[in-house]
Amino acid sequence: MTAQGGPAVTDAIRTRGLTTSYGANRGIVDLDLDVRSGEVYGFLGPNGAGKTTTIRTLVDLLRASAGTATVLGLDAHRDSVALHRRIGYLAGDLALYERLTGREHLAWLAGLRGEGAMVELNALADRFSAELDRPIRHLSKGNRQKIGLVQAFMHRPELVILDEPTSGLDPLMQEEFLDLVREVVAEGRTVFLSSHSLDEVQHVADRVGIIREGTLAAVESVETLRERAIRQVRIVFCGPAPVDEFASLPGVREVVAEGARLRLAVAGGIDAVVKAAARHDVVDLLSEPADLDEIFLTFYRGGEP
Amino acid sequence: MRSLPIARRALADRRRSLVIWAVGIVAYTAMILAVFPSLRGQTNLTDVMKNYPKPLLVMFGIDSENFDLGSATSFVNAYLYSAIIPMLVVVLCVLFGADTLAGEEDRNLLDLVLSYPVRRRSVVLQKALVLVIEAAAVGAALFLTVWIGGLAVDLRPPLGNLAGATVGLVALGVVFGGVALAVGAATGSKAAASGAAAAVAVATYLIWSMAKLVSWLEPLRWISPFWYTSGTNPIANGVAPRDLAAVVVMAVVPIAAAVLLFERRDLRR
Repeated sequence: MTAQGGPAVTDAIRTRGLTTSYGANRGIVDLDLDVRSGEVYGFLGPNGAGKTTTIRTLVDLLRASAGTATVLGLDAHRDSVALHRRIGYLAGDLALYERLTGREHLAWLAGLRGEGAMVELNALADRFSAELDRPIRHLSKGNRQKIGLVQAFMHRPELVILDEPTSGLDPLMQEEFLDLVREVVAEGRTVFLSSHSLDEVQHVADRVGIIREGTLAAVESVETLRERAIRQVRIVFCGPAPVDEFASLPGVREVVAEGARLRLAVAGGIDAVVKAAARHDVVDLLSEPADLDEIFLTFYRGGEP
Repeated sequence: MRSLPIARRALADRRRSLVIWAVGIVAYTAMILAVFPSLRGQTNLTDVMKNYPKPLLVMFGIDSENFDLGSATSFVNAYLYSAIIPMLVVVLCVLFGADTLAGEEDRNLLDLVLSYPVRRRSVVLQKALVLVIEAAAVGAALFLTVWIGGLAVDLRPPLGNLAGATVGLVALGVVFGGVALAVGAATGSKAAASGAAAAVAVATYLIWSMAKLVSWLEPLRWISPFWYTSGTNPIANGVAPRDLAAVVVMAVVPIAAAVLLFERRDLRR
């Protein structure tokens, strides 16, 4: 990403010095964000870092106190109605009209957009096996989330902005969602999605921006982040843990052994660790998701432990 | 594409509670009407009531000077159009005004709606439209009950005056519902919206009713919408178009304020 940027048309989202105060310390400060057309941009940060504030400013639910936000070439606030025709949005804490069925609700929402606003409704509903004929108040969190995803995508928007979209979805549906995202960007459309977990976005995002305490801490390709990500790996062996074999492996930052148990902090892939473990009898192997705070800290330690 | 989707949604969500309110008001009205035949011509009861302490009568919006329980106009005015029914209509409108905007914001629903291509002012105005429809529906139910039920007990207030008083009542509801809408638009809090509007309603009711007793309040009574709608036994004397216009203006002001205040708000979550 470059500060001066290319022609505006290549940026789906472009903010400069964007500042929004919201609540006590949940604002964003001087945010410069560049999301290219046709990419999947993962917006990562711990809870309370300002992800939702950023997204709600882009959708004109919050008003920036300083800076500019240009989305699809339009001003996020001044041109909000024209802009909202062209985007799809899914809120982090989705609320729906409880008494309506999913089908009634989606039809009503489509009525807010007008013609052609539900061209993909049935295809998407089938895809997610969304429950359309029961009142929403009877639906589980996951089934509500499916309704939310359908409404965000059903009008084939040029840009989809999703706040923690996979929350509540079972793993199968999460996969289905990621497939959908891949198809959408393959058509040249853009997806901007927030998450608090690198693992959630790493298989789909092209680039990742990390937000922390209201400022953009880093923008990296997913590969770079993965190389720097440190994950905790726990292995239980049949006999005493062969500590020495692991200490010298590439990427291993820390080894602690307690009898048959081995705990490792591994940067980058865990391939070497798994292959080393495979030479022994393994009872259990657990690899924990990469910790975002850890990833963030490694940036400031230059990747050194 | 069908028009006014926000208004249709709000109306559909309110249908059940609106029917319950209308049935309640119709039932109360019918009950009061049923009592009328046994009061007709009972001047002694009227005399007894005239001897009640004036402040008590004033609290219930009853004009002790020109009061005759046996007359159709005094009866309808005193029991239906002075205190109880206006308060019920005001409560209904305040509850709706507070819930339809601030309540939906509390429930995070506006996040979804406003991410669609709709103008904020259009959302507020469609909600205000439903407020008017709701007050008018209850007003129509009341008017028809008094008119048709009145025929059954031979109670025939002048229909033109009854219609005028009913329009005044509807406008009165919209005034305070509008205040709830405006406070909700400014704060996003349903509790603040209904609380503030209820406080304004009680305060202006007291200013109007107490102005008859407390001389220093009298110059202030013009700020109370009740003075225009209930001030002069509208069933007997009619409501002056000038007074109706004043209440309509009082209803437009908070709705306009709601539009402006909501336009610049950060939505809560």
